[in-house]
Amino acid sequence: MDNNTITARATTFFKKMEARAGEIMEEAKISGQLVADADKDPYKRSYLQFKGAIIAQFTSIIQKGSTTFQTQVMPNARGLEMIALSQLYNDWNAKIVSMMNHAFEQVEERNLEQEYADIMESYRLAIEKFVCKQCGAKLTMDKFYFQASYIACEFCNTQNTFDPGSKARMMEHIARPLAASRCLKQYERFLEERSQSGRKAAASAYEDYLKAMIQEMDNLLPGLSEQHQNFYERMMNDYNKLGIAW
Amino acid sequence: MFKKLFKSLGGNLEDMAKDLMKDQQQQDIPNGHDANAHKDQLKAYMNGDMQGAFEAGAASAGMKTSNTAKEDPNDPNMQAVHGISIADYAAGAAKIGEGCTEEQICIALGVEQPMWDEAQTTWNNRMRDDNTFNVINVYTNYFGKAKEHGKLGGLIPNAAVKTDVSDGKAKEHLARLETDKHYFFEIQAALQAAYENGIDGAQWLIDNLGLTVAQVNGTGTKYMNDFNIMAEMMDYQDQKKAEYSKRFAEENGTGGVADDIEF
Repeated sequence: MDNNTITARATTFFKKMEARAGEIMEEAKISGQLVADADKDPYKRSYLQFKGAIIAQFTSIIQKGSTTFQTQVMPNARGLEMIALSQLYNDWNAKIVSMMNHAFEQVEERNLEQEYADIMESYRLAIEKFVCKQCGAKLTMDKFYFQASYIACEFCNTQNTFDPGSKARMMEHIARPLAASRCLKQYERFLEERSQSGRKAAASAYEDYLKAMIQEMDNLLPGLSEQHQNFYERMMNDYNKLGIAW
Repeated sequence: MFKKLFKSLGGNLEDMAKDLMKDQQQQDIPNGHDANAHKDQLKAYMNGDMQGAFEAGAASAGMKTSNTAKEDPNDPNMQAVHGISIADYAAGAAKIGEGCTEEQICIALGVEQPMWDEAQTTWNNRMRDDNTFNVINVYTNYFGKAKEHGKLGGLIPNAAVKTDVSDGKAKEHLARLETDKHYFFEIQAALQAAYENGIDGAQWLIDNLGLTVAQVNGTGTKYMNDFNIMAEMMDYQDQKKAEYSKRFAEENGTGGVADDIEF
C-alpha cells in the first residue's frame, strides 16, 4: 500500500514537473526568435542572456527532480518498485534534457547574409560622403576597405584617411562563418564522404570545401589573399596531422 | 554519495592510467616521435606534475606553451607592423578590453588609426595561422602584463565604467585578484553562475567589484597558464559556483521555477 502511494506520488510529481518544463519550452519557442531578432548587438548578448536564463530554468527543474528522486523517492521505495521508479525517473530526465536541447533549435540566432547586407549598406553611405579634405573632390574607392586606410586624392594627391565605420569593421569577424555558410554544399559532401570512406579518403573533399571557403573569404576581404592562403594551409595541416576538421 | 562514488572511481581510473603509462614506458617509442619528450611527459604525469606533463606533451607535438614560447627577433612572425610590436598589440588589446578606445591607444603609441588597424589584422592572422601556438602564447604573456607596458600600462579609459563601487574599493578588488588565487577562481565561478542564471556577468562585475571582465581576466593569466593551479582550484571553483548559483537563482527567480510543485 505504502509502495503504491510512493509510485502514485512520484508519477504525479514527475508529470507536473514535465508540464512545467513544457511551458518553459513553449515560451522559449515563441519568444526565442523575437528576442534574437530584436537584439541588434553584433554578439547577440541580450539573446544569449535570455537563452541562459531559460536553460537555467530547465537545469533547476532537472536538479529538483534529481534531488527529490534521491532523497524522497528511492529511500521510501522497496524491492521491485525501485526498478520501476528508476525507470520512471530516467525516462523523465531524458525527456526534460531533450526539451532543453530542442527549445532553441528553430531559432535562427544570426542571419549572416542580412548582417552582410547591412554592412555593405553602411559602407555605401560611408564612401558616399568621403571627399578629399584638401580639395573636396569625391574620392573613388578601388576596393572594399574594411579597416581605416590611407586613400590618395587623384586630383591633388593629398593623403586622406578613410574610416569605413564600425559596421564595416565587423566584416573581418563575420567573413569566415559567412564564407562557410556559403559553402554548405561542399561541406555536406565532405561529411558524407568522411562517413562513407573515412577521414583519409575524404581529404580531397575537405580540400574542395576549404578552397571554396577561402575563395569566398578572398571575395569578402580583399587584400588578405596571402593570409587566407596561410589559414588554408594551417587547416589542411590540422586535418592531415591531427584529424581535426574545423 | 554519488559524488563520492565518482571521486573514488576517478581515483581508481587515475591509478589504472598511471600503471598503463608505466607499462608503456618500458616499451619502445615509435619512430617519428620525440622519445625524450614522450618520456618526460610520462615522468611528469606520474609525479602528479600536470604542468610538466602538459609542457612535455606540447613539446612532443612541436607546439609551444606560455612557458616555452619565444619572441625570436629573427622570426618573420614576430616582426612589428608599422612599428607596432606584439607587446604593443597585446597591451593595446588588453586596454581596449578595459574600456580604452582605439583612438586612445593610437595616441599613446604615436601611430595613426590605419596603422593600428593593419597591425590588428596582421597579428590576428599570424596567431590564427601559427600551428605551433608560439605567436598566441607570446601574445598572451604580454596581454597579462599589459600594466607593465611603458606607453600603455598607465592608460585609463576616457569613459570610465558607471558603477557605485568607489575607485579605492575597485582597486582593492583588483589587487586581491592579483595576489589571491582563491579570490580569482571565486570570481570566475560567480561569472559562470551569473551567465547560467541569465544575469549579465560582465555587468555584475561592474556593479559589484567596479571592474570589467578584461580587468579581472587580466589578473588571472598567470593562474590560467599553470595547469597545476588549474587542477588544484577546480573543486574550489565548482563549490563556489554552486554557492553563487543558489544565490543568483534566488535573486533572479530562476531557481524557483518549480518551487510550487511538491512531492
